[in-house]
Amino acid sequence: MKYQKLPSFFRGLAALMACLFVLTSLGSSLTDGYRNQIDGMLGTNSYVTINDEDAARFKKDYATIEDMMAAAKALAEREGEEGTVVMKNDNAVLPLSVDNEVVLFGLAAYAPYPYTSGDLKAGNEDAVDLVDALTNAGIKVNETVKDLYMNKILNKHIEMVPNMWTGELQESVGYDNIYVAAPGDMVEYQIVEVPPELFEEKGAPADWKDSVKAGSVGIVVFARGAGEGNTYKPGSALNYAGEATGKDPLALSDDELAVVDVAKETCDKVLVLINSGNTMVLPEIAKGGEHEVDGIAYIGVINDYQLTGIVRVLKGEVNSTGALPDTYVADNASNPAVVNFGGSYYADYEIVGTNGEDPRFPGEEIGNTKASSFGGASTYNGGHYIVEAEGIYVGYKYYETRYFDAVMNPEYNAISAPGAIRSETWDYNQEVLYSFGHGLSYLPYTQTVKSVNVDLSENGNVTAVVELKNESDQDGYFLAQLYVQQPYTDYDRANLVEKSAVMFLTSGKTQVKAGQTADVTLTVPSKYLASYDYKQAKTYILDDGDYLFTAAPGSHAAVNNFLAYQGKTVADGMDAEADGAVVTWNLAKLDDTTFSVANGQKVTNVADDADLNYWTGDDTVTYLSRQNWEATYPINYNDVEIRLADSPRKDEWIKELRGETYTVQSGNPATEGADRGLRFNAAFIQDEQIADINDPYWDELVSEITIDEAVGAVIHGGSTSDTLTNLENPIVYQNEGVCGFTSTYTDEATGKSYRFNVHSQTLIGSSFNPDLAYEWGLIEGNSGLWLQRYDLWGTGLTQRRTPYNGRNYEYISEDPMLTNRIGYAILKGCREKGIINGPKHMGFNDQEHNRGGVSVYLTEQKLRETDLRGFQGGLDDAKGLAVMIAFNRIGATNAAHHVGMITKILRGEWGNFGLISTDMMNNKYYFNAESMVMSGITQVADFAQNDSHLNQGENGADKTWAHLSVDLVKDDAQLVEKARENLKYQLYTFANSAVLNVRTERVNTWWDNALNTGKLCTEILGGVSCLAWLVFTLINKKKERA
Amino acid sequence: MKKLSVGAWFTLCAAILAILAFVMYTVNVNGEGYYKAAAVANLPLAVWGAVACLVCAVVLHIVADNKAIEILGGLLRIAAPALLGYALMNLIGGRVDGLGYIYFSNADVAREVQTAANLGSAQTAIWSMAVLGVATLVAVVAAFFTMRKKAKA
Repeated sequence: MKYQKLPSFFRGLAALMACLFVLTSLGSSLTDGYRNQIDGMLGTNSYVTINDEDAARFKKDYATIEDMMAAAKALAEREGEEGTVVMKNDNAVLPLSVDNEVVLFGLAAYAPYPYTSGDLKAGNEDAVDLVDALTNAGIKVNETVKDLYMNKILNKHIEMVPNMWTGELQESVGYDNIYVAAPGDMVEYQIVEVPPELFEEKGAPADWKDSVKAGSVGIVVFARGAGEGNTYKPGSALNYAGEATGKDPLALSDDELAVVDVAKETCDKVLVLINSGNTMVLPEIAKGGEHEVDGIAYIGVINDYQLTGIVRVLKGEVNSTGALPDTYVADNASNPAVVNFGGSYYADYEIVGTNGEDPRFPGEEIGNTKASSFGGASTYNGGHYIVEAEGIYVGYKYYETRYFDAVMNPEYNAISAPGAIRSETWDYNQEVLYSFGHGLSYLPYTQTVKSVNVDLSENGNVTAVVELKNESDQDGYFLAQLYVQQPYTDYDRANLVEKSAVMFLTSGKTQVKAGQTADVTLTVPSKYLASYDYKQAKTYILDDGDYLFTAAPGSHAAVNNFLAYQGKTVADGMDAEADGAVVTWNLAKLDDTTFSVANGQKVTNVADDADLNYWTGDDTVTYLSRQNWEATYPINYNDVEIRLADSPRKDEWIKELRGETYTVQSGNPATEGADRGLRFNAAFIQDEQIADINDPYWDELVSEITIDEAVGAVIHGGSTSDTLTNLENPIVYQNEGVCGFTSTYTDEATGKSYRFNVHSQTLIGSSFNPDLAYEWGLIEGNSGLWLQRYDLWGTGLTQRRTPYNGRNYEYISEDPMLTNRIGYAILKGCREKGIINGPKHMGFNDQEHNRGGVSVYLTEQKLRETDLRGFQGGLDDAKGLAVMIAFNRIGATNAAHHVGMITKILRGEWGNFGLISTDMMNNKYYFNAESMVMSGITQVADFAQNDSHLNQGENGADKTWAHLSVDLVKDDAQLVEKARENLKYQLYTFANSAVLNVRTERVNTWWDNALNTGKLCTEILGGVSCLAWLVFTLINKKKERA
Repeated sequence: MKKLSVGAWFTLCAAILAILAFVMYTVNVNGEGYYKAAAVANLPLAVWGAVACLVCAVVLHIVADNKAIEILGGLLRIAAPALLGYALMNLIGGRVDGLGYIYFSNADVAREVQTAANLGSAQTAIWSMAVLGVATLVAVVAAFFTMRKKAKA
């Protein structure tokens, strides 16, 4: 190199090194924030989990991974056995005989839903589909029709699809014809069932029908897809040809009915299997329908192994004990909740928008035009609302109560036109096909309540002994269901306290020998007998009068028992005679005190403003009341003009819709955190600290957290809980999903992979067996210990308010108490293994459509007795360790801001000390950081990690909510102390979990080393080259002058 | 201007590219989509600082040719890529969460989040990062060249 060029070379080198130094330095901190994701992509491990298993509080129940997997698989098969519901069984279509061939029809027969692995399906190598399950059970499957579907219609193949990110073509499993697995959000839904008229065109031999042998049973399987962010749109069905039919997407299409017809034509008997988490509409194939089939069975949404258990039921190897977790109706339009579904905009929603005057977002124009926003617009997401005017009358509570009143209380106008879809005046048997709790047992049996004890002391239970009598000549397994009817009194009518004529309490199963009886003892907390009076007593009440308890195979049989007990017969309008076997418990006087205190907290109204009438100042909404079905049957409030500007509380309403539930205060300085020598580890946390959150250790521990981290760790909870500076708490990763941990365990010795998310939420619901749910909770917990994952969003307990919710497959039932008991059992099992299992999505996430911001208006009775009751079993009774809050609003208040639901009910009345997370924080204008801290949220869910600070944005402000900074919040001691309290709950939860078994240590990965080496090299080379450049420049200039 | 060498033109090119990246960033935070109003801390300061360094370096070499100018101009040319690198890493840091959300969410969320506005916003963000990266590279390359052509003997 020429001497004169050296200054240029070294200048360039210095520039390069300076640039690389900046890139590697900032790159180090940037990658540190996404360590988990980078590890996932590169296969590295940044943290070593040190777990002293011998000293651990929570231990695995299985010695080997094979044992663990075998237990999970066996449990999944039992879900199939116990969750399969025989809805209709005529002409002895069931049980199937090995002597007769079956002919499988329908796309879902060969690719049951879900057909791809993911959150809902584990995808283990030995997963079983329907053909496998039938063949393994020795049942022959017609090969001609199988070949037609598998090779000519479905034609599963590998296709190349462009990667959404790189555009590169990659392999993906595809089918020529497959049902739509995700219905989308309120859009048209194509039912892709190939009609038989096209079979030959698709490649079937002309004589394919001749291949069907005499005595064959046709099994037709129909599926409906679902998914997050998905909501079925009523009337949106398209047929196979893509033409709009105007039919309900959950009803059977003409193409599907044609498949039923061809099955009927070719086979001796026909059985239809319903493979869906969304309740389908089946009048055509039910009794008396134009396409009536011999049998119908519900198989829910299957996972890897459930079909083995399902086929055991179909074959009669085990008795059929499943029951319907939802009411099957002839037309979804008859459901009063469906009247107010989807929602509408306030007439003047724009006035919520601001044009630079919101002090939190100075100068920003913020609209209110969208209710759902995953980014894309600056909006408060407060334009949309629904009115849940049906109140507590969801599912069977509506249909059975109206039926009861039609017979018992004619003055309530149950037999009237409103709500009657299939006839001029309302008729239960026209509207309902199969009731909640319905399920046919192969073996005849009876169930009778022998005794009931109601204990009203604190934490007291209703204890009922139910006698099961096996009337068959075979030993068998049987289901007992316990129902109650509470008194509906003048007081209730005067104060609009609504009562369902029948309420499911709990259920259980047991083995009974042939011809013998066995007792099942069922218990459920007595508090669930109470009703919430939001108008007069403003607390829970127990009415005076007789409480009737009965055991029955479903809600309709139970209500008939209540009618018969009260002297009614078929002559009075009952649709069947009943034995009236009821045990009564009497309360002499109205009791408004026993349940007015819970966990030492006064129980009173917390959500008056969830009622739309609170805002409008008049009786805009008439909530459904059984005392006059005709006058109070819901109208469609989507069509009513609701104007924010006309409200006497206009300013308060708009403030809430803007998310200003709490405003940062000043003049009350907070104390800065300081290291007091306490740490979060087993050395400091002994039994007394684990047992009592009021132990002084916890307050002292969180007093060490700096203001920056206290608020920062709550509002940037991320998908990982970070280590806080002075606490040295271990890092805790959050995991999906509702069917179990989605992580894969790889056995280093054999290289074999195992996935444990083999559970089915739908089938555990239809099993009606809390004991089985508890066993799943233990399996789920054990799998967490094997995977060394301790924090899971591992079940869904939202009520299925309507059949159209795209996430019903994640939930249990339309009934809060069935959900409550199953949730209780799952969370109890997980807790016993130290796993933090958080159910989704508490607080009326009743539809995915506009979930991010829709205002859900309802009464406080509905608030407490429907969706929240579903969560109460797991979070109150089982003291589950976590919960995820809903996306929507309750009234006008973001559910994640709702002090009444989170602080007063969950923390106060229920005494839950768990971790409380938001759903994904996707909009800083809708989710308000300070309001979430004040409501009691312990972690706001975002994508980032290692960002538990309030000072990572411009000028030391917060990176998301720029109006927040340490300088601002340090003058609001209430906010800072609330943040510390929230973290105290979270840390206490970790201490009560298997997290305390472990400590995590950071280790440097190869990319850490590369970055660190790069930093050092560029620093040295940069300095040397800069110096060299200066020296040579000066020498050069001297030479030039010389 | 005739005295300016390839180094000067590279330097000006880097400045123009940096300005272009900044314009794209500004469009991104002011337009509809995921990154609307999502300003990135210190990015304007770093980009404009770098542009000022690059332009000043060129101007200094046009107006004078002495030891002090050579050293001052050189320092500016060393500082400029560092500032651009700093701006680039800040921009990546401010965008990576959202890009993960838009492109790597599970299929159900992806269907909801991948609106035309959000995808457009994400693409603009990616382009602004790419252009800023190229500007940084060009600024580094420019530093290896002198600003003025050698005077012919």
